[in-house]
Amino acid sequence: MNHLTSAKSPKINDREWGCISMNTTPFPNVDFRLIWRGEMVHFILSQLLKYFFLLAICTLHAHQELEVRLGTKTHLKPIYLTTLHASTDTIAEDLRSVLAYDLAHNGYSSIVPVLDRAEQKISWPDPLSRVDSSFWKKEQIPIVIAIEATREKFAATLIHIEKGTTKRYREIPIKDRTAIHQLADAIQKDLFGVQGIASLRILFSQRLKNADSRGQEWFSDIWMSDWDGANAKRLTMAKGYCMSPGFFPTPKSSTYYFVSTNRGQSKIYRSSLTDSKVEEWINLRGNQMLPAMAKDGSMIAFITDAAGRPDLFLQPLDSHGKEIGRPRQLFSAPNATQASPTFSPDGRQIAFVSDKEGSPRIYLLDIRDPRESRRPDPKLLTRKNRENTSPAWSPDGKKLAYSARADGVRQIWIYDFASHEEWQLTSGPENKENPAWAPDSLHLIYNTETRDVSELYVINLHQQEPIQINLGFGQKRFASWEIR
Amino acid sequence: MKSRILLWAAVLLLSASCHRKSSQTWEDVKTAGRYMQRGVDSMWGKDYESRMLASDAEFIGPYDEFIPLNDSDLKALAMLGDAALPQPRGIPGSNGIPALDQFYSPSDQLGFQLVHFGTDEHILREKADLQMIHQIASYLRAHPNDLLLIEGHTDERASASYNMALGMRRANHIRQLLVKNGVNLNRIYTVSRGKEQPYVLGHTPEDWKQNRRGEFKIYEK
Repeated sequence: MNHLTSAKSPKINDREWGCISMNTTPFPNVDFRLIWRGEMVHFILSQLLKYFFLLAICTLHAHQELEVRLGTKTHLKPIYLTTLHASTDTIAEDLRSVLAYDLAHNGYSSIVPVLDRAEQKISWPDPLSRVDSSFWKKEQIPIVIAIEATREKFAATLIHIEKGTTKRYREIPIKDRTAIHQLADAIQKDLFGVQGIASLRILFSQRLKNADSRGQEWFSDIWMSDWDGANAKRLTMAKGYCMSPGFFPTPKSSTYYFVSTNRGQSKIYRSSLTDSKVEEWINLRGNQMLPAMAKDGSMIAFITDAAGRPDLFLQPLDSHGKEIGRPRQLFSAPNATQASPTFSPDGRQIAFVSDKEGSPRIYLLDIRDPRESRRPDPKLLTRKNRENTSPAWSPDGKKLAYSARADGVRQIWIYDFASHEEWQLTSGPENKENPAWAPDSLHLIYNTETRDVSELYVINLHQQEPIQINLGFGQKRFASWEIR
Repeated sequence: MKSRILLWAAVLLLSASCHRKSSQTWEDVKTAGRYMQRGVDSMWGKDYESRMLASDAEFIGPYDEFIPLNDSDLKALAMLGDAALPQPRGIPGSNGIPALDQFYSPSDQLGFQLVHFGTDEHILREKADLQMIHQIASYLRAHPNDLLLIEGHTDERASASYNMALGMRRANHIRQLLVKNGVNLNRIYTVSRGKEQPYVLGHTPEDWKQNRRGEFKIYEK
């Protein structure tokens, strides 16, 4: 967490809380001769209790420290992205802005504003024919990306001033917007050695009020789009009620799952991007909801009332996603609500929400055979806030993102497994929930939810400035990322 | 007094079983022990409810469909107030079970009203709500062919995902109350609507109260 700095305020002054002053007598103005023995005991006990109570309050408040975290941008590498050489085509301009967006929000680089003097330093038609390194060094620009477009093709050349290396990328067809995201990911991989996530798509649900007085009042459908909100496409049938979609974790999978209440009870379904056939997936009585698949696709966890309570269940799966054996009941508690499971990447543990000890909090459970007579013993994970929901385990296993109510507003918080620290990632007056990690464990997508407005936002831990994904009308919720 | 009678009963049982094989004797001792435990428990105010099984499915349980937790503590706790009553077998809309969209809101003459919950609670506390449960239970007992659908709803304040689970909890609590009032559990289906289908669209505490509700729909076979 070197990109974060934390500052701690001094301890709260004990005197504010009126702690006991030892200079005065403990029981002033009391004539002990007048007190009967029984009353004496009662009196001493009550005094002791009072002091103990005060002391407890003082200790509690003395330990409460203010912690302020400041996001810094010091680790972002500046990139100079040239204007389009000799092209005024709007499609090409659009592609340039997509590339600039991807490179500015990947968590590793930032885009330097266009400079006239810099433009003159690029030698067209071949930007590699003459590179004035001293100019770029003077401007403190370590990386230059020269781009040009013809009517059919878009070409990019990378000039790494700092390292003295160059690379020409394969030309891409000008009408292929998704190829630009792939180019951005390739550039990121070459520069920083980390695979980008710009070419991955997102799934989400869109809830709308039915303008027609016939039929149900609200409907909610599953949609898919690029990570910047472009190419949005509805996947499920119109006017159903579908929620919580997710891609199958097989790399570049075209299969996805979601929950639908189209047939009354909520059930888990799966479908494919290639054919729109929808099949009911988990064969179990009652309602099934809030599904989460393990990283290797070998299990799916969900919440079901098959046994009469909202319990945590698990279904083992084969490599094609077919059920192996019967679902297993993993956790149940009387008078408690369980919700939102998420797997550890090694598939050994599940984090989930339960209100078994009062308010909803996140617990950690080892996955075992339910037939073992040992009682399942989930460990409380989140301690800082009272209302914690929708946990999501990062693919690298190091962090857990979740939504927690802090000062009356639900914000996205991060739990760090190494330091056992919990810290607040987002701020602002809107409620935020349903965080989902990208495969790089750096980017998160979540939705706001304030009254009837829900929008999707992407944030990364290096930049920490949320970017709204523009997807038009309706409530956009339950986003999840394609798996690489 | 009660425990003394039980003690005598245990002694009698033990002496009666002396003529049998040792394994049977051990079983008898265990049985007697359980009765003793119940007697002692009842002295401390713990009460075990006993209930007639409504069907074979209830006796067998849903355990051919999933592997249940082998948790004896959980089973004991469940007996003390929050019984886990398995959902009816089968999926509505298939194998002769009516689809849930064929269930309809009962006519006004039946007098089925919405029942309401406290914030983040799943237990009905208001006297009027509990009386409504009695009324619905007696209607269902009198009309043994009718099926019931309970919808659990929440207000808009908690997160959408948690509210789906809370709605599930609420609907199943109402189902439990109806079963306690003598309705066959295989006649009652539940669904959760979370905060997705609000009854009123406002954002005041009064609106929230109206939205934290259980709704009933029936199907006449």
